[in-house]
Amino acid sequence: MDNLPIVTAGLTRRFGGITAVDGVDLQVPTRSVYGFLGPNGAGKTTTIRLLLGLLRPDAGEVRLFDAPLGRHRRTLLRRVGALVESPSLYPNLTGRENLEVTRRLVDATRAQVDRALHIVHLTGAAHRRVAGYSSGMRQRLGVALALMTDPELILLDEPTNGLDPAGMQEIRALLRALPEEYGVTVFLSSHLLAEVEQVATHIGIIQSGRLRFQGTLEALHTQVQEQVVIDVDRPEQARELLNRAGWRVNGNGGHRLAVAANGRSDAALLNARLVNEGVNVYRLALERPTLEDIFMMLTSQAQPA
Amino acid sequence: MELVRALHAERLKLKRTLAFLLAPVAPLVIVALQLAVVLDSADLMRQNLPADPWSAYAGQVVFLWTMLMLPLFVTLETALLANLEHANGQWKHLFALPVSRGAVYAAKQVAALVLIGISMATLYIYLVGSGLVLRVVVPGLGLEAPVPWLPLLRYVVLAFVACWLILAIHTWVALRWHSFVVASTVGIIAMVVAVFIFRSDTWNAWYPWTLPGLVTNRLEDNVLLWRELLFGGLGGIVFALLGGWDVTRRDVV
Repeated sequence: MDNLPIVTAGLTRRFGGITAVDGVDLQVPTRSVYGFLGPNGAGKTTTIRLLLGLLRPDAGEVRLFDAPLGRHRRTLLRRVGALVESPSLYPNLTGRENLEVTRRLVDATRAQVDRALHIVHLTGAAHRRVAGYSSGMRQRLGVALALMTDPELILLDEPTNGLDPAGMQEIRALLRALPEEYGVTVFLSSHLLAEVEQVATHIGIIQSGRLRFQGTLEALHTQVQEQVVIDVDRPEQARELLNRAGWRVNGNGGHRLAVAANGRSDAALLNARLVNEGVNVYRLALERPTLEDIFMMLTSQAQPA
Repeated sequence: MELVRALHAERLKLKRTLAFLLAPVAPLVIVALQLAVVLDSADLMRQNLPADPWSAYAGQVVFLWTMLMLPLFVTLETALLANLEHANGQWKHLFALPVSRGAVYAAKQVAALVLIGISMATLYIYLVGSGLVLRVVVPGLGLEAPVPWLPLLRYVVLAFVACWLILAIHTWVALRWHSFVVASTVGIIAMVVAVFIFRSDTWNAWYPWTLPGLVTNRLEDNVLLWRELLFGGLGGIVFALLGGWDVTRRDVV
C-alpha cells in the first residue's frame, strides 16, 4: 500500500452549513484508472479541488505519493496533471500558444508540447485560434494541458463533458492507453457510470459528500447480491410478509419488488411463502443487478437527515 | 527566475488583445485635448506668458493625464489583465501548477506596471512632440526656448512612481473580484472623488488617486513633495505585497 498516488484520510470540507465532502478516505492504486462516480452535486469537483490544493480541507489530509500535500504542494504538483471542470483556455491564443503559456510557467520543453498535441490529435489544428475550436477540441486541448508535464498522476473532472460520441470514444481510448503506454495513474470523475465502466479498473462512489463504495470493478459486481424480481398483485402485503421473514425488499411503488436473495433455493422458498399466504405471483426472475442498478442503489439511498 | 518565466507567459497571454495598443493611445487623447485647448486660447496665453513655458505646458498636460485619464486607464488595463484569467476559468489551472502563486500574482503586477510605464513613456514623447508642433503652428507661446529634456522627464517619472499605489490597489481589486463591474466601479468612483479631494489641502495628501497629480503640480515652482511621492511609490510596493498575500491564499472555488 506504500506510495499510492492518492490517499486521503477523513477528508472533509464545508461550505457554510453544507458539508460538501464528508470524511472521505480515498485510496487510488498506482497505474489504475480510478473512476470517481457520483450524481451532480455529490462532491466530486470539491474533492478534486482538495486533491490539487485549490481548496483547503476543514478536516482530514490529502497525501499524494505518500507525502502530505499541505507541506509539499509544489513538489507534488510537479508529478500531477489536471483538468478541472471546463478546460482553462485563452481563446485569443492558438492551441499551441495555450500550451506554450503553461510551458513557460512550469519550464517544460517544446518537445513536451509537441508530444501532448500529438497524443490528443491536435497537431494539425495547433496553429488555429482556440476561439474557433469545437467543444471537443477544447476538451482535448484541456487534456493536453494536463498531460504536458509528463505527470505520473492525472486528475480529470468529467473529461467527456460536451463531447459527441466520436469525441467520447477518442478520450476513452486515450484514457485506456495512459496507464499502459505512459505509466500514468488516472483519476477520473463522472456522473455517468456507463462512461466510466468502460475504462475504469477501480471505482469510488460518492454521494452527498460521503464515499459509498471503493474497490475494483469486480468487487463492485460481487458486492451486491443477486436479486429475485417478482411481480405480484398485492405488493404491500408481499413486502410486509417478506420483511417479516427476514428478506430485504426494494420496491418502486408499483407491482414489482426486488428481493435480495441467495440463489435459486431462495427464489423457490420466497415464491412458496408468497403463494401460501395467498399472494398471486405473475412473474419471478433471478437477476444479477447491472452496475447501473448498483450505482442507482448506492446513490439513491436516503440522504442523511 | 520563476517571476521571469511567469512574465514571459504573461506577455504571450496578451497577444491579440488591446492591452498594448491602448498604452500609446490613452496619452495621445490627452495630448490632443491639450493641443485643442492651446489652439483655442492662444491669444490669451500669449498675453500671459509663464516664466518657464515648457514646464507650464508639461504641467498642464500631465495634470490632465494624472487626474482624468490615468485612473481610468489603470482601471481598464488591470481589469483586462485580470479578466484574461477570470473569464476563462484559469485560476484552477494556474494555481494547480507547480509554480509559486506569488510569482503568478507578481507577474500580473509587473505586467500592469509595464503597460502603464509604456503609456508614460509615450506621454513623454507626445509631450515634447506636441510642444515642437506648437512652436511652429502657434508661435509666441515661449516654446521657442530649447526643449528642457530632463526637467520634462521629471514630470513623467514622478507621476509614474506616485501612481504605484493606485496601480497596486487596482491590480488587487481586479484580481480579487471576478466581476469586471467591481473593478470599474471602484475606478470611476475613485476618479470622481479625486477631482474634489484634490482641492482639499487637508485630505489630498492621503488619497491615493490624487498623489500623481499632487507630486507633479508643484514642479513648475521646483517644489518636490517627497512625502506624497514616497506614499505613492513605497505605498504601492507595500500594497502589492499585501494584495499578493491575500489573493494567493484564497480558496479557488
